[in-house]
Amino acid sequence: MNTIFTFLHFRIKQFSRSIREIGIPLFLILLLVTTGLTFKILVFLSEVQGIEMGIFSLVIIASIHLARKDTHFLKSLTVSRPLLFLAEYSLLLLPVSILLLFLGKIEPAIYWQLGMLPVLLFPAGNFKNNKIAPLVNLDKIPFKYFEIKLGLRRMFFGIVSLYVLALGCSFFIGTLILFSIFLLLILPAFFQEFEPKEMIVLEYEKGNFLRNKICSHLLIFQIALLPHYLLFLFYHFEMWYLGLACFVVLSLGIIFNIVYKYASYRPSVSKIFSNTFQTVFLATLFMPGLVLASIGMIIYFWRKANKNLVYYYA
Amino acid sequence: MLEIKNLAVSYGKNEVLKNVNLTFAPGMIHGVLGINGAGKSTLFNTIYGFKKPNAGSAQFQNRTIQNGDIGFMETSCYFYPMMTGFEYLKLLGIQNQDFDFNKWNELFELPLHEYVENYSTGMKKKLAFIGVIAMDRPILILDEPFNGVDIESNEKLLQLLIRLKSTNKIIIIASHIIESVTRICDRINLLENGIIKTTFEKTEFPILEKELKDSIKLKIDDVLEGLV
Repeated sequence: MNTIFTFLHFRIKQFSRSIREIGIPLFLILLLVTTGLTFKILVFLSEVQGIEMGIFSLVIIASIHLARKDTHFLKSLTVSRPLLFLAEYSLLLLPVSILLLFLGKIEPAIYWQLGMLPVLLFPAGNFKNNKIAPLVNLDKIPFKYFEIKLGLRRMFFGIVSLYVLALGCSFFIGTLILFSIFLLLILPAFFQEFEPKEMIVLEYEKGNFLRNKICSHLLIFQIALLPHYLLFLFYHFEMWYLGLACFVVLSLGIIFNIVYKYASYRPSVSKIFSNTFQTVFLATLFMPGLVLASIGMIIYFWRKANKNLVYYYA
Repeated sequence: MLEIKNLAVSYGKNEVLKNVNLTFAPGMIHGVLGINGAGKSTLFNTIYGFKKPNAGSAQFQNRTIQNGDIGFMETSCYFYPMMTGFEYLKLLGIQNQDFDFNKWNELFELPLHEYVENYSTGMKKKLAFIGVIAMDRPILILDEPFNGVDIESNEKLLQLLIRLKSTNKIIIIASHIIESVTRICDRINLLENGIIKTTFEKTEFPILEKELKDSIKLKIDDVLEGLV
């Protein structure tokens, strides 16, 4: 039992360190944005049934459980792992349960807290399998688009099937919007890993590194999406502004992910430490009235990325 | 000539390198020895530009050292994910059109068309080593190049480094395997608590080995007395 308490204490410490890493002023901004989101969640929670909350909780915890990377470390502990997972996940779900109880929703609160129990029957961290041989030869894609190669190799079948499905269903008005949202959600997976110094130097020495990278990636992403835009205009020309909105929002998403990557860049570190700002950025895109904040974030991280690159490579 | 002048580096209040002065001549293999935390990796990271110094500089051929001067092999080799060994080498060798990947790979027989993630620790070291050669930089910095490498490959690496000397490169090595270092190095700098304690020439290596062994024995005797 002591080990479990020590472990939970360690997790709380990790959380407080993350807040310190973000910085108090930015954490307060984050809090403001999440307050808006919390309000939306509250409205949603006031309408849901218990069983739905259980399924919701199960899906969230399963996605965390199956992608855990600390399984080797946990095996070295003598404590019962299901018990440890139970304690950890219960703590994670507790704030929403308290919120539900506060709203007088006792049944959904119980379902929410207990819905994750089936997850404990499965071994943790089994979702990712890196031992897959290259499925697609992407030699035709130039080296400078290594992020695109990485993203495609990671999610090739998912991306290609959804791409084709979205093309096939383009006569539905919401298809382009849903496909754009899907792309916005997966974009961080393309840009969350840092390349070794040599890979940056090769492009940096040519000058205008950040601008060139953004322009070339915007071009390649938007060219790939051109059939979707054209089909959207073919079927729903009167709603052209929706297509334009998707184009703008996706462009903002691509720009943000690139500038955020290099603003967070540190040599000898393999990937972005925290995805908090990517989540905040997405929230600002989806919440009416906050789109300007997303542009503000792009400008802020662009400057930071430039300073960062100058520090290491100028 | 690579000259390190009055280099001082700290992490917060922790002063890791204190007024380090070193000279590395071309056509020689230079060793940097020191216990864990002595400042070897910090020294390399600073020369390579990963860490900014508080004071001092690294000068190559009487100018500030540049990104394109150094081929650096880190202790723990990091590779971009979902990249094959072939893609990695092709990328690093982009400015070296004459580099024959397949010929070099005959030395280590790596599965170049597999993802690097699937390689063992030793295989990753060997790939990183070929990568450093592919870059064809005038300065090679190798931090623990022999870690995790099998006996045969270790010997190949040693032979290869001896041959690379003739290309007039500056080769700097840090390793804990003292036998390998004393065998190939021409000069060894002993780093202790962030300062260069002594520099040993080839003829003085037996003295260095004896000094190291004696000091370690002294520490062991001191700590283990009454324990084991």
